[in-house]
This record gives sequence, C-alpha cells and structure tokens, in this order.
Amino acid sequence: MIKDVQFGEETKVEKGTLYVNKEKIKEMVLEDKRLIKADVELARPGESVRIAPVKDVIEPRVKVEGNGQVFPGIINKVKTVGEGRTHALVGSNVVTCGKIVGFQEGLIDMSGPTAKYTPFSKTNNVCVVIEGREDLETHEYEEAGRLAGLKVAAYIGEAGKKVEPNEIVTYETKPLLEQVAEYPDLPKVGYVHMLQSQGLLHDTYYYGVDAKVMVPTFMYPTEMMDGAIVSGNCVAPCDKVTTFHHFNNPVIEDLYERHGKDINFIGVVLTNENVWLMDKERSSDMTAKLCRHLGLDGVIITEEGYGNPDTDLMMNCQKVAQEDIDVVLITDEFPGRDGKSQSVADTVPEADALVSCGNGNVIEYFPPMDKVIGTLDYIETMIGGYEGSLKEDGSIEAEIQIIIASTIANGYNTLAAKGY
Amino acid sequence: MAGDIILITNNENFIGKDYKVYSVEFRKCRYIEILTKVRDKVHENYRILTHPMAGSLKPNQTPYKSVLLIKEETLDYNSLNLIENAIDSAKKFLGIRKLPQWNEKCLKDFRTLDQSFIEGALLNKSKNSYYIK
Repeated sequence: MIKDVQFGEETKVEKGTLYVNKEKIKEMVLEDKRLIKADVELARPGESVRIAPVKDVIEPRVKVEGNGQVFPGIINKVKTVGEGRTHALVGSNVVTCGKIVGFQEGLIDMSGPTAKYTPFSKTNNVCVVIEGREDLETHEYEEAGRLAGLKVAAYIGEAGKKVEPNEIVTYETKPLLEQVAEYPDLPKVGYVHMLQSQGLLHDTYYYGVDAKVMVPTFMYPTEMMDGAIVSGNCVAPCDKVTTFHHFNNPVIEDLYERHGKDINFIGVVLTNENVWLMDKERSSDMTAKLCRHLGLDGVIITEEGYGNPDTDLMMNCQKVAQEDIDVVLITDEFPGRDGKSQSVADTVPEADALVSCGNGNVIEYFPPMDKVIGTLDYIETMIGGYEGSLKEDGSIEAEIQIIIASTIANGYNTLAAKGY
Repeated sequence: MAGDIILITNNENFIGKDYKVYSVEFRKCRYIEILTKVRDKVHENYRILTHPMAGSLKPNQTPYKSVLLIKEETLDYNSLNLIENAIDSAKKFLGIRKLPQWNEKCLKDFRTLDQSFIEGALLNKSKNSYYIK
C-alpha cells in the first residue's frame, strides 16, 4: 500500500513511499518522437491541486510469477496472462494529462467538494504531462499518449517486484467443467463486459486487438488483472473506464467476494459496442449464445459510454434474458438536471433490474486550486463544461460529467440516482 | 433503386470522395436536421445501417452526424423506431443545453471522429453483407 509519493534518484518503494526518478520518466516518454514535451508532477490526496485534461489513469503493476507481462500485445509480447502472482502498487497511479483533443477528457480535484466524485483524489498520483507535435493527427497523439502512460506505469510497477506485499488476495477461476463441479449447488453467475469500440478515440484493446474487429469471447476474470484490456478511448470523462478500472473491475471484485459463498462465478463474456446494426445483432447473438453455452443462471452486464452503447446494452439484456437467464444491468444516467427525462437512450421490457451509477447532468461548483497540473485551457470545451464554466479566479461551474469516472457505469463510484 | 446505399451527412470530410460502396448526400445543416432527414428517408423505405447515435458524443456536444442507409422495397419499422428514439434523445439534450461555439480545432476533431465511426465500421465485414436484410 503506497501512502506517499516523492521524487528520488532511483524509482523504488521504501516504507510505503513510492520514489520516482523524474528524468528517467521524461526520457522514456520522449523516446516517442511524436511527443515533444514531457514533464512529471506529483499530486497527493488532500492537496490543493487540479489535474486536467486527464487522458488515462493506470495503476503500476508487475508480474512476479506466471506467464507473460503486463499489457500483453500492447507493450509486451502476446502471451495469455492471468495466472501466477502480480504485485500492484495500490494507492498510487500514473495519470497522463496535458494538451489534447479538447473535449473528451476531464479533470481530477485532489481536495475540495468535488474530490469525492473521483477515486483518484485518494491516490498518490504521478502525473505525466505530455505535449505532441503540432502537426500530429488526433489519433496519433492519442496513441502516443496511451503508450507513454502504459510504459511509465510498467516501469514504476517494476519497483514493486521485490516489495513484500501488505496484503495478498487470491482469485481463482477454474476451467468450466471443474468450476461448475466445485460448487454444484450454487447459481452460476457470469459477467458480460462490454468494451467501448466505436472508432477513433472510442477504442479498447484486448491483447492488442482493437475490440471493434473482434467477436465476443470468453475470458478468465484474472486476465484483466494483468492488463489484458487497455483503454484507448476518451468517451466522456464521467463514464470513461480507465486502464485502472480494467485492472480493478468492481463487478469482478464483488463477484469473487461472493464466489463459493452464494454464487459460483463462472467467468467473463467479453463483447463490444458497435456502430453498424448488423454488428450489434451479431455480437449480442453471440453474447447470448456464450451465456447459454456456459450454463449461466444469472448475468451482470455493464457498458461504457452513452447513446449508441445503450442499444447494445439493451440488445444483450433482451437476448440473454430470452435464454432464461436472470439479467442485472449497471449503467449511469443522463436524465437532465431535474432527473425527469429518460435516463438511457434505449430500453427493452426485459431490462427490469438495473443498478444506477448516478446522474451525470448534475451541476457542481469547483473552487479554485493553488496548483494546476496540465492546463485549464480546455475546461469550457470539455464534456460537462460550457461557455462561462471557467471563472477568472480559476473556479469552475460544470456538470459532474466533467470529472473522471464520476458516474462510471461499472459502479466504481458512490453515486446512484434514486426514484422518489 | 433497391440496394442503393446512401450516407446522409453534414460532415464536409465526406465531400468529393468516391466511396464506391455508398453515395454521399451532403447537406449543410444542424445535427437534428440530419436526423429528421434520415427519418424522411426511412419513410421512403430506406433501412438504417449505422446507429444514428454512434459515437457516444451527445447531440449537444458534436455538430456532426452521418448515417448510412440502404434502399429497401418496404418500410423498416425497426429503423423508424430507432430514428424516432434518436430524435427524442437529441431534443432532450438540446433542451438542456445548446451546442457550444466550437473553435476550428475542435470542429476538425469532431469531423474526424464522425468520419471514423462510419469508416471504421466498414473495416471488419464482407461488402456483400450490407445488402442482407
């Protein structure tokens, strides 16, 4: 457990403090010639610091036993991961930020009234501030930024290799027939995990494969804990599933918590979110087929994004339910500031059990902070911001959808919208 | 003619290119007007191929919208349902807040994104499959 972060000559962990070598990180980032500037700043819980615009958040991890390395197919060789032992520097994160596209990225406040909306106000953050070449295409810049964050996180993760962990947690999913036989009397539960995959800046990678060109597949939940899934998107700050969230998926965490007690957690059906209607049909058909094939009794489905993905969510819900499998959906809502409009863009009669992750349209006041890591130049053009959002004193009035992961649709937050 | 594929768009990135698979019907208009144009086409027996809300960008965030449709013999009620829902949703968002005055840099990015939603989706399938109902 990391309790503090400091700069040091050597990147290492000592008595709960993470020391990072600033120059080494800058050098590593600038190896990519698409990036012309790199800086490293630290942000700790409770400090008067605002980080913006945030691209990705990544927990430093390293594999110490078992096959492969973290982020297989992206920055390390393709190899099936998810077995053995992985060390995570829990309590610290790499946050990539700085100049970018202008609208899909959000902010993190380390203190003040809006800090509570994001889990990253509670972690010791190594912020990598980047700037790309002026002539760089948007998607090239996104890729350079994404790889920089992953490389830095893997580098810092190495510092955890020899550290004696404060806590060791064992997660185990067996091959299907053995898993079913282990708890024959418990209901078999699966997780349908929908990856954002609609196109440029809306992509997610599974072992390096762009999720929009894959068909639904089965995966062991532990594969995610080694970085088999990497975020390559900036949908909207509030519902962005960062790479941190893929590592620490709360649905998987909670299903394991109940595994062997009142449910038998069989595994993850991985699927995508598509633009073409025929792709939606194919993916949702295959998702339902896989759920049936696995003999599931119940399924939890999560999505990433709003609008078009709601259609995939509902198609998955309907088709899985038609296989006589109980379905629970988890999503956030956009019902307007008064909460009176329809919350999701699509619905089906089978969607009768849904867990809400909050209303992204709620407006909040963000007091000025002593320090800004990155820039506030884009606040008014970010999703959740608007003309007049940024005040002269550096304070902001904006919808909470501007905050990274505030209403994240997998439940890694504390918000919920309730009916009265 | 049945089988004809058209792209209804207000994104100038699609102008002047020969896409072979589909023809481009560009109009200089607002997002919501593209949706109503798509609805008109559905009433002329066109079936929607790409989701009218593709991209997760909310209707009061991006000014651009492109939708692919294919000509059929009869009215496709699924398409009608889809486009009516999209129009309802767009009106809701535009009622909450109108579209910001984006600078050219942002507009360019929105155009690039919108283009990628259509072109990206063309990558992963056999071309004859568009014609299958």
